[in-house]
Amino acid sequence: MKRGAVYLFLCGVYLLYWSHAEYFADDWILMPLFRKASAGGAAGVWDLAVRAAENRIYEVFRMQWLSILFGYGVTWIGKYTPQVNFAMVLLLHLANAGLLCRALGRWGVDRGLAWLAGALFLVLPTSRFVLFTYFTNPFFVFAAFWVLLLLGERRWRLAAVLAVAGMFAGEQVFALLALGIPLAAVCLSGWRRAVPTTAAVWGAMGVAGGVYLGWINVQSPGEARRYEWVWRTFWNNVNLICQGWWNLTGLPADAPFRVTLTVAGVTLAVGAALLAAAVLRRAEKEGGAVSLGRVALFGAGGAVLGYGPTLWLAAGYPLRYHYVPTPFLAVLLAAGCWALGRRAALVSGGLLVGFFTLNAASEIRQCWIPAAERQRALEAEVRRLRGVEAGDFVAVIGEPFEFGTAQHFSLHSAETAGPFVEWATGVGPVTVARGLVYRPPGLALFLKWNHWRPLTDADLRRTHLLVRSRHGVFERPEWVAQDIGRGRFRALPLKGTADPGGVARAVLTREQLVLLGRRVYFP
Amino acid sequence: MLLAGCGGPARAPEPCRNLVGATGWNIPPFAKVEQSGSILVEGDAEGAISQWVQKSKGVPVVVAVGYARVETATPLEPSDEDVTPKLWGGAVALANAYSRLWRGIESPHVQLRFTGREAASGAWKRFVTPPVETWRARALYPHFAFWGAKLAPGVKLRVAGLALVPAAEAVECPSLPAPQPVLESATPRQYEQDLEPDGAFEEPFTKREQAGQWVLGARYRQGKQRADRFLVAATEDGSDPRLSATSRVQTVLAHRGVEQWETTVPVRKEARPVRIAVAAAAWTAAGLRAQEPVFPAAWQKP
Repeated sequence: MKRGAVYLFLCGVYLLYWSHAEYFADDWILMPLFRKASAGGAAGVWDLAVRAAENRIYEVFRMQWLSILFGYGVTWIGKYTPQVNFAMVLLLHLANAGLLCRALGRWGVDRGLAWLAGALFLVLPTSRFVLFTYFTNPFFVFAAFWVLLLLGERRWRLAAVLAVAGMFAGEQVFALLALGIPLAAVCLSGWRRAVPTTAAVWGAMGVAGGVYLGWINVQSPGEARRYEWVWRTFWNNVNLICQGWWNLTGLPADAPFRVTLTVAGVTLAVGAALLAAAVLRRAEKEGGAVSLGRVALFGAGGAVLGYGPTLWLAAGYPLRYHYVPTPFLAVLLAAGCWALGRRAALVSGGLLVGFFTLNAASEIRQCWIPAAERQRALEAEVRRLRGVEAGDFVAVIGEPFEFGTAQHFSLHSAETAGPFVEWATGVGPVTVARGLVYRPPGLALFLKWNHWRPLTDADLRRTHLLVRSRHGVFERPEWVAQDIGRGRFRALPLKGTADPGGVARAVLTREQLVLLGRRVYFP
Repeated sequence: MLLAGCGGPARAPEPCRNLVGATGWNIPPFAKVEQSGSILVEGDAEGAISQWVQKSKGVPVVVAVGYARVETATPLEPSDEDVTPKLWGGAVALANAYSRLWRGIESPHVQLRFTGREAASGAWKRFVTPPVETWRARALYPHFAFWGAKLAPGVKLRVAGLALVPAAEAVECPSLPAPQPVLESATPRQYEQDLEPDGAFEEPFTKREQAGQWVLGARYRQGKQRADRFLVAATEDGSDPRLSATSRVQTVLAHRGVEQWETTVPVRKEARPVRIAVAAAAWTAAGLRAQEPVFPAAWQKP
């Protein structure tokens, strides 16, 4: 069997998600802009490109414009079908794995080891988060890095172009782009041969970075937390990375998902393990020119370069930061298997590939599919809201912020919740809240961490409430019970609720209001 | 005594088997066994009323069930406010504990807490612990736990009917030891999922006048989702009792195994029209949840 075909089989586990594919997080911010760009023709697309390059989309400093434009291109081709975006992401992930394998082989690493590294990269849980997020991921530019590595020291002009493209992925790949070739040269061949290419890459990155910062970007780099480095976060981030590795195995009791045996998962895992073992067996006779120690050094060095720039980041440690260093973790794991001896590598490599395939099936079933289904249910419910007008408030209560490793697709942050509701209702702008709370002296909408919007009675008449009950049904209350102390309440009508009897002026008890059933919401 | 009671450990059919035995109880000095079989606790209490139980094959999950009631020297206001801090300091709990190899004792538990209404009713309240998977356990250790408890002067706490059953559904088994009368409560699933009761009122609704008050009677057949109370709302001006400022609401606690209940509602003789609604309700994790109210014809006065 062709080795590439086995990679294709390994990617098959991600197809468990295929029919559930949905847009995610930042996609909701970008899609209205994409639609606007398409509607504006060539001028609209040019305007989108300029806004992305100048950082006037997020209004913070990011080096992400190429990813955004790539996302636009794929979405335009796919006509806003999330499966098309997902397919593109999978193909790029597959391409990255293939390029990793080819690049390692090109530098003289044992073919079997190189193949195993690519196989592990495909299924390792640290590479998974970005597979389900479409517009703002570093896939294609990261592929550029591997092409760059594949070309090695020979094609310095192309290497410089690819490195510059990689700079604008929106992820922290600078250290890897700048030092990847010298690292590979030092570990796998000899540093002298890499000097011209390295010089070209550094020069191009320096010039491109200078031009971008000096003449194109209009935002201050210090204001974007993704590009804000703080010394004191170092150990915290190291801890989060190590904790992430352990949790993502699905083995600890408090893991975001647990490795479980399902028919599809076990079938795919056993198939993956057997195929991996078969490929490794066939590769037994192919040796490599580079010692195992040097391969391990390359893996460790790459992981340090991949993780390095993220270790001081101030804005926490999202799972997507693991994608860039994951190929090097895969190289390290593959080298670890090889250190056990060729026969043991065959078994351990097969077992690892099988285990992580099962792990992927478990994560998709327990985190991403439920999250996608909840997103669809919510979207259907939001579409059923009647009488939504510009300037209204929509409070969605009872939706969790995350499902294991999957964040809520649209409501995880206030920045994405608004565009999502506007997308679903076709009306904007609307203010979307995650809670309706009693916050003296009155009711308030919870917008995001530490942000509340006090509500007057008039505001409430412009408020739509969607409450997901604990038994999984969306309810649309008509009244809100405002606690006015000593067990007394006022019933305030929400948008679309008539109050001809002047109920809002009456003082009522909890028991009275409870008799209204789910038509009344108690904050 | 009621602690082991009528269920007993012996050969009861699954899943109504009670793993707690009639003997082998550890009764601490602060607890007094009463004639009825319940155990009385007063004053300071630190320790456990407990029994060690060997785990049985074929019982993958166990749930502990127990009952408690309180008496106070001065009557408490019948409200839904948690009055436990007025009853004792520290904590009293029903624990579904178990010992683990090398790792000491784990104690999944439910704290004994009472609302003013429950305490004032004088009836027993049932407590059910979270389930425990027995594969984790070397031995099981169900107990009433007293963690630095200091009962307020005049407060008497009685516990009874501790049982260890194989599954959460088994807590409804009639063969398990239980004192009388016991307050009805939402099932664990109903509580977690915030489900309203799904039983039904049955005819006839009755009404009689007594000393200027109406004595209203009703019959309610419990459904799968239990009602722990009935809300009777009345207005004397014909307005909707649900949204009227003049409405008065009475709460009647439901008792396990009792369908027929009565309550008194003060109604002025000359008042008309009188509208009375009644609904079954239950306290769940999200608060009080009521069924759709009914307006019994026999209770209305045009």
